[in-house]
Amino acid sequence: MAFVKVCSLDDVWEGDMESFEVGDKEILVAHLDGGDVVATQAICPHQQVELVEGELSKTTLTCKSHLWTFDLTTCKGINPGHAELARYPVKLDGEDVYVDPDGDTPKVAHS
Amino acid sequence: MTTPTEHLVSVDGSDVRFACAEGDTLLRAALRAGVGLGYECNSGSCGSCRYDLLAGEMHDRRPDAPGLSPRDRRKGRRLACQSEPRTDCLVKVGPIAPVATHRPVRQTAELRSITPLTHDMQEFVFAAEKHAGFRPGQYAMITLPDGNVERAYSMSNLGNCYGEWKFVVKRVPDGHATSILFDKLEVGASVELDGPYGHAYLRDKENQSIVCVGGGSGLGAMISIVLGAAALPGAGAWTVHLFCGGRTARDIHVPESLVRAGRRLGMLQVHTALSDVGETEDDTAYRGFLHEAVVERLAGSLTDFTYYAAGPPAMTDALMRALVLDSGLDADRLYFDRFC
Repeated sequence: MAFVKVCSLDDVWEGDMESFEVGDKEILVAHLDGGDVVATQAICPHQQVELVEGELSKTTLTCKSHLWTFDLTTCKGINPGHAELARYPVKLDGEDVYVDPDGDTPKVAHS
Repeated sequence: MTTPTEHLVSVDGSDVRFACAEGDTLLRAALRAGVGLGYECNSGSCGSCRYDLLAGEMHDRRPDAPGLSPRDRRKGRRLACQSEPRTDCLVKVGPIAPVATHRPVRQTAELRSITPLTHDMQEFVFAAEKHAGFRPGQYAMITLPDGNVERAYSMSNLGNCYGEWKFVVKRVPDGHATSILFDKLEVGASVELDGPYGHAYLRDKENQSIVCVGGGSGLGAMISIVLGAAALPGAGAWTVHLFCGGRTARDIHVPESLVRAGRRLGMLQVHTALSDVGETEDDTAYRGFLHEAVVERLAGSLTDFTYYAAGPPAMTDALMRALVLDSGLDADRLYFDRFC
């Protein structure tokens, strides 16, 4: 599967995020302050918790369950630092957001 | 046609298969078979055991369980801890880990003794047939005979080969389960005991500087962890801070066994926090909430420790926020099982 249209920027306003099913994957699309659009895994690498139910503040995503935090500009963990999120390629065509769901695989962390 | 007594559960995308006895839950059957599905509360509250049912018939014990968000329900997600397979089934689950502790076993246990600890806290000692296999800090599910109520309670002793399971329980005002435990259950009565469960057990190979924070019935789990550290061959290298809290001094109980544990440990310091402002004779107590006591008493060295906590969700949540968000503790250095 190559790039797939997932949503429009109108569905995910700046500072907001939403989760989508793309192919067999669940993908979180985050529209960061400043305009960057990031596509990452929808489920926290720690446990089966939806990241979209957490909090997005500037570029930092905080999972609601155990307060794991991630920097969405790099998709690396802020706390704990060893954590990381998948990062799917994103293409914008006008208002349309395209994501390649085969561009990465969801990460898993055990603690 | 005879009703089968077991159903075969297959995990999508893997070779994992396990049997689930009729009436048992998907989560417990997995753990009994050594398949480590993710979970925390085993009670329908935390949502850590979400999964998707791809094929088969499942009975939902608690359709309104708070562990599922409206989004989860829209997506058809289920909780493994509340799902009873009624037929063979195929499930899609999160990552599977090995079961790191003893596999849970369901057995009958007899109440051997009841010891009052405070005005609303008692120690209940049960004797079961098989050995008591659990790690310090874990919990068991107890089904009380009257009304078929099941609750999770943490063991306050250490695992042993003579089948002894001890629990420190604080009475919940108007609580159905604790009213049975405190008011109806008599020595000699039988309960069903299923355990162990839980991930907030003592990591004896990790950081030897630890902080144990116990509120309400969570005190028992923290006693177990302190005793567990004290029982290690290298106990002298361990530094332990135990925080226990209550509203007033009459809510506080520090068991005698901790004094002996303190002699084996490198250091054991017991801190108490009292949340009700007012007169008290205990001038060593911190005045305020437990999480505030931790932050203030350990100021400057907060991030040196690994934390274990058990207690009411409001307490563990406040502690997590204070440590992880406000103080920068590594999020995976706080162990507790979420019950909300």
